[in-house]
Amino acid sequence: MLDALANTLIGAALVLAALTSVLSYLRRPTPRPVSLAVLGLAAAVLLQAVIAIVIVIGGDRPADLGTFVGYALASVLVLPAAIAWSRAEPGRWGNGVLAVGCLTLSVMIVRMGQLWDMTSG
Amino acid sequence: MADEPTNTGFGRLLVAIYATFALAATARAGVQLVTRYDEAPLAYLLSALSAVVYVVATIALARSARTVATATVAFELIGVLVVGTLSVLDPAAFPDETVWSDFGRGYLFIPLVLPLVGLYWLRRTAGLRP
Repeated sequence: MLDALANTLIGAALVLAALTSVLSYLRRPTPRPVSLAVLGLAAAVLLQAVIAIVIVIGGDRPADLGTFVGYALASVLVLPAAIAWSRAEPGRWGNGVLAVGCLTLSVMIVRMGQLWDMTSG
Repeated sequence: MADEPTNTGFGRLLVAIYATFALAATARAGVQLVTRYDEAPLAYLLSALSAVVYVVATIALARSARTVATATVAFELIGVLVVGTLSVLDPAAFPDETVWSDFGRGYLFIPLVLPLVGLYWLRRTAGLRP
């Protein structure tokens, strides 16, 4: 797993979680740039999962490989699901759903990093 | 007055949080059962049960299936209280974490609070019975 990419994704997810929380509080529809940023983050998370799996196939792998792969696959699904579920109610609750998705994603990437560092050697 | 849907407004957010825990519990139980079922069959089957309950509760809330939602959310409350208590009293019986261990401490106690919020929401959206 690439630390720089993971840290960037965690940072971006936290910023977007904060942003959508504020938009939720203000009951504003999600502005297009924010929607695109969430979509971009979802794409970057997919890229990270692919890179991680390539590194794993290359032989460098975490001790608890099963759990790591579970997190990697789940991390890819979180934002697309949040985006789809938020669509019906733009405004307070749609933004809230996006915030939950971004927060969940950041926790999952942190956990992936921890699992990765417990390398079997 | 008829029942209101459970999946709109605050309910939409609640479903998103439930879905998060459905995912977390399912992934955890799946990995436990596949990789080390023999180590603690009871704890892992319990883990799988909690996952199934979260998944059904999420779907029920998302589809406004009120009866199923109430049953599963209530079951969760009982589950987190019973498993939480047992895991504190007899840690040896629960060698590996489940989402309900120590009253959900590994998940910021959200598993303990969530069913209470869920039951409150189901009550809030319930219409007056004729």
